[in-house]
Amino acid sequence: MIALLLATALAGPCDDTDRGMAVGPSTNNPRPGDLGSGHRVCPRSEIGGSVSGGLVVDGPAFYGNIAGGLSAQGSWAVDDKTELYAQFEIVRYDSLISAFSDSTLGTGHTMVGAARRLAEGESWGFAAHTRLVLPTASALYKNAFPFAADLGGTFELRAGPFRPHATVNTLFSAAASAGPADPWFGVGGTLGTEIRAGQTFGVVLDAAGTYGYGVSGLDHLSLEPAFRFGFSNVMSAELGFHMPLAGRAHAPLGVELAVMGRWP
Amino acid sequence: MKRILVPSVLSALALSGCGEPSCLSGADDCVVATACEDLAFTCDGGTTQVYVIDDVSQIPGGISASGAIGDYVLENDQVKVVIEALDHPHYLGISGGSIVDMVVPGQDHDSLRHYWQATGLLPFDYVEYTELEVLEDGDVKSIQLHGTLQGRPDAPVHTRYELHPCEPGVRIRTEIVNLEAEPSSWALLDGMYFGGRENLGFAPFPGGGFKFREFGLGDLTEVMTPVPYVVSGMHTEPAATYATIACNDETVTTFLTEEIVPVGVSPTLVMPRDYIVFERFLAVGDGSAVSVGADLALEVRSQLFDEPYTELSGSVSVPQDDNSAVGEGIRALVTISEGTLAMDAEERTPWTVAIPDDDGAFTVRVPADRSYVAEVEAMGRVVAEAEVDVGSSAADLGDIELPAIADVSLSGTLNGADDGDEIYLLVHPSDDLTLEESEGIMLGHFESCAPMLGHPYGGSPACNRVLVREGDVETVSLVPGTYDFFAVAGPFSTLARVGGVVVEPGTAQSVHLDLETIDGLQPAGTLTGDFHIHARSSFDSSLPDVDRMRAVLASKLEVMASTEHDLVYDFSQVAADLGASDDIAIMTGTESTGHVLWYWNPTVTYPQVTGHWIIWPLTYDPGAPWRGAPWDELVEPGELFTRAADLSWPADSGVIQLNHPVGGVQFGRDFGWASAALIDGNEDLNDDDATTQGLFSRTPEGSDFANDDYHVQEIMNGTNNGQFLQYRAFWHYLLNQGVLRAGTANSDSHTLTDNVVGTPRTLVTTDTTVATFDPVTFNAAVREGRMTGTNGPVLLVSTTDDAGDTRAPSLDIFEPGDSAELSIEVRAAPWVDVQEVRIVVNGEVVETLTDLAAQPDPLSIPAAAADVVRLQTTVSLAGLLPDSGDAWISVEAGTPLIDNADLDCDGWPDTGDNNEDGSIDWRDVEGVEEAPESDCFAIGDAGPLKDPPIPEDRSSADYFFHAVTPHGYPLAFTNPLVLDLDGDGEFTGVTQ
Repeated sequence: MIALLLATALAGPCDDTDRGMAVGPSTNNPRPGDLGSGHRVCPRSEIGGSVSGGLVVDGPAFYGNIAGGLSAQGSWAVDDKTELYAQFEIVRYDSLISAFSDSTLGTGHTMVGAARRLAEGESWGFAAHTRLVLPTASALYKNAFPFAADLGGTFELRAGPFRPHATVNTLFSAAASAGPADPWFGVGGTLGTEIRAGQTFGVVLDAAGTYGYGVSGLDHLSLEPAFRFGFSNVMSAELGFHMPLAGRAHAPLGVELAVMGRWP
Repeated sequence: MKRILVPSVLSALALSGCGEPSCLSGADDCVVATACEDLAFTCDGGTTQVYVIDDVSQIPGGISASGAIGDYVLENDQVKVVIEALDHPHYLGISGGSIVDMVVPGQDHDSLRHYWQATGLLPFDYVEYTELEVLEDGDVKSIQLHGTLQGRPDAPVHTRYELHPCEPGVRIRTEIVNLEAEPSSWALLDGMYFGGRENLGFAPFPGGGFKFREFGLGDLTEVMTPVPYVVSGMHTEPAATYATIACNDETVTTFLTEEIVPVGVSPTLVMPRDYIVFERFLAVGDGSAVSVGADLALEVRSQLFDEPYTELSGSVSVPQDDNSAVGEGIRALVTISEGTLAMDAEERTPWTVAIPDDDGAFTVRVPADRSYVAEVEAMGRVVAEAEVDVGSSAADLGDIELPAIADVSLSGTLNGADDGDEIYLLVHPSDDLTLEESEGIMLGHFESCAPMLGHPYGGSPACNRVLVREGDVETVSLVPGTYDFFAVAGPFSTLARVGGVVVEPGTAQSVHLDLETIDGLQPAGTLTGDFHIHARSSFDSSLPDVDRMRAVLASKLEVMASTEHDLVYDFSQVAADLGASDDIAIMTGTESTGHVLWYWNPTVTYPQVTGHWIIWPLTYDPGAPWRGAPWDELVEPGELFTRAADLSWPADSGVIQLNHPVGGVQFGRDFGWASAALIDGNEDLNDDDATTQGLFSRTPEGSDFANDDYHVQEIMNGTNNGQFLQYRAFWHYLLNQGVLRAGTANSDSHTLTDNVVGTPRTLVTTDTTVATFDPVTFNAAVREGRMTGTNGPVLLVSTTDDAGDTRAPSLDIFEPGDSAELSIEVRAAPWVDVQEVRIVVNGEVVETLTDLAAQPDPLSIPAAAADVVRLQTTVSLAGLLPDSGDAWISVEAGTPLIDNADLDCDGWPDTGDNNEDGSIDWRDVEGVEEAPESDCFAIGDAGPLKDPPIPEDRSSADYFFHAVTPHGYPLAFTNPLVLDLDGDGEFTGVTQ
């Protein structure tokens, strides 16, 4: 199968057939600033926005959690191998529903990140990436302010309509607080593929998981499917989902719609 | 991988800039920071001490006193606070570490039942402390506790109770950190548990004060209201009043219920690693008026938040021709609300409530520079209003004249002698106009009473009930009108009535009632008992012990089981003080009452408790936690019985009683075991522990007893026998299943008002007597079911066995003689109407006898013993029994039962013909507008039951019965005759 894929590989990992469409693994996990997600191998300069939402319903535990946000995000291809990127949640809403419920509305998190392609072949590439997530969610934190970072790498292969990819990540966060810093360490990864149907539509079938981040075992194992649309050489959209299968009890069911504009 | 060693650089980052030394970071040797640092009370010679109670004399007295040897005391010159030892949890606490008593030193007026911490309502929201430390820093003494939310090690909680000299309260700081991976919504609260008939919460907010907001579990957050302080007042004396004021926020959040008053931080979404701190001052003052606590609260707020207050004085007076005096809450309560008379009452903010002194004067603190309305309540009715503008200096409201009332002096005798018998009197309006004008409700809570003679849950006079000792006179105050006065001394006495007494304003007059004991009414060889009686030691009663005992004596009960909720109390000394030790046999027990919700029922996903159980005898230990009762939380019945046996309950001779087995919930807690376990009366019991039918007899792990190892069940509970049909249905179901348990009839009286103690009662056939009372002999008869239950009619039922011996109702299994007959005799006092006798075989009424003697004049005195006999007959057993299988027979007497149906299909009736259209269907279910899609309502959604109508003709015989048996109708039942018809020597149930 791999031989078949390699045989049908295109000219290179970052050829220009993608027009405005999103590439690489899905980034639909519900953590602030996409912490722990993969990142594309091929740098781009983009600007856009996204809306996202998450939902947890646990009736027997009288627990429900609704979260939503509107973000602005962008990236800058410093060169053909290096990309800087950032995201700012302009508005974030969180509602925790239990016997006593509370909701918050304010600005959300800020993420800054960088990626660099370290290796490539005719049809594949490998890039390292890192992110730093800052606790700028004004209404969400009262007394403790967590900082988070990740460091990981993404491998992408292009084989005709199939674009398999894999990501590994290390995650870390800790709080600035009069209370405990409570550092969390974890490892995670994504494995899946994008299937392209021409230059205007693609489907991503990813499975993602994290181990040890905030919990003593499996944090979550999820499906992260997405649908990608290319409207022009500039405009694209991605509708992605996060569907937890295993892990901690209250991993949210998530959805995100991103619209991006690209320039050379 | 979570929470490995904190890198030093990160530690520096994390802690820089915040620097709040406390226990938030969880350091082993941490000290929770001082709360309320801006407070400063001064006095001469202030002292503090902290110690462990090692003698009963160190335990404060009072209605809610719960401290025990081994508990901790923080005490200064102003306040004494008892904090439970870690292994002494009470009520809704799952560990010790909560406040159980709080008094002004030297005062036996503890009115604080329990004061504990939680973040929500569910089991995993309760704080469980695991470590307690005593801290002493000069004059500052503290108790510090560490723990977590229940079962949540990543939700650490730290609390410090801190006492400074001169301060009229304790400072408290609680910290909770969310070290879990997920956000939570926490309302960090102190739960003030008052149980239902004790303190009432009071909070200043528009339309507030004592006014509670209706809510359900789904809108709790909406009713949480930020207020400047919360005060709880007792309203009966002796009492202490408590105030809670936040120190690190200008408001506390609360919602008010009669059972629990939570006070704390508004629900807060707490992200992982974030935390909440709640600092407050809990103050105590002597007296029952809200103003005692509100005055302290305003002083504290002036220090913390620079809020100025001033004093507002005033007085109430009575008209010149009125002999009554002010000085008690029933005569005058003055609510001071911010606002004007022109404003709607719902827009005003009540700040305090004063009880004028004996001269009618009162002085209270109120926030300065505002307008206030004074609203005066007398005899449970608002009678006057006044308005005043208050500046920054002391203000005077002036005098408010109360409407005139009248005095009636009550006296009575029993059997003509003046030998100190207690007499129980009831006062009723003679006409609708008097009913309308005399009906009152104190503070908008408790029970509505007509007339309102005193706090319905306090001592005599209470509501419309009065205790009078022979030879004494009790004077009560009445709103003008026309009244009927009744007295009765249990079911074996005459009924006395003085009717149509016109009471004019400003007058005084006397009413005297004479009672006679009726010879020949109580069967020879029986003792009358009530095995379900409460008083002030219970969390839901304010009735003084002496009035409880006086009411018991007035009812002419011969045996009482003292069954306070969750603890043991012994009335022997009270009886001795009344000179009545020879008149009553007292057994000490407890009513186990689950408070802490937990997951024990495998058939449901929500937490529950396991209903109410009475266990007697238990040894009263005044220095022990729960006074010798077992801790009754987080256990199934079998485990509860084991805990009792591990203490002092004699398993071979003691009694365990299942109380009111079917029913709903009280503040979210099931009070009936059968309903909690969802036992289905249409299905057979089984041995599968994972099913509802298997829970009944399951033996919990580590238990010496099974859940069904109880001996008796209440068939009649309460003077209002409205749920008799449900209890009876469950009992019949068990008998049909071959589960032989005896039936009892008890009053479940908590006050002088709610249920008349001894009505109903159980007649126990036993060889022992009051004078030579042997509890083992007596309890053996109870366990064996040698009992009938009644609120008036007396049933004597027997048959003969195959040896020709007479057999009376009991759980004994026997073969009846071939030509055996069922012998039935019914006796009753003239005031008790008995219209029919029902013969119940295997749960079905197979014959109804109606040829009883007519009821005589209800106020007559029977001339001879034979005059009380309403029926003497025999019925052939053969004509009653089924063709095959075993059988059991129970006989009932009274007025006809009202039809009720089982619309939720759980086997127990739940709904009557409430719309009176001749059929019982969905149209009779409260709140239902259209036919349900299913044939059965969801369990608990049907109802209500329908009772016989309340008599309206105040001159009728049935009204007289109702006047002394409120909401009851004449009823008696026998325990079963258990017939081994197939001759196999056992009874394994019957086929339905």
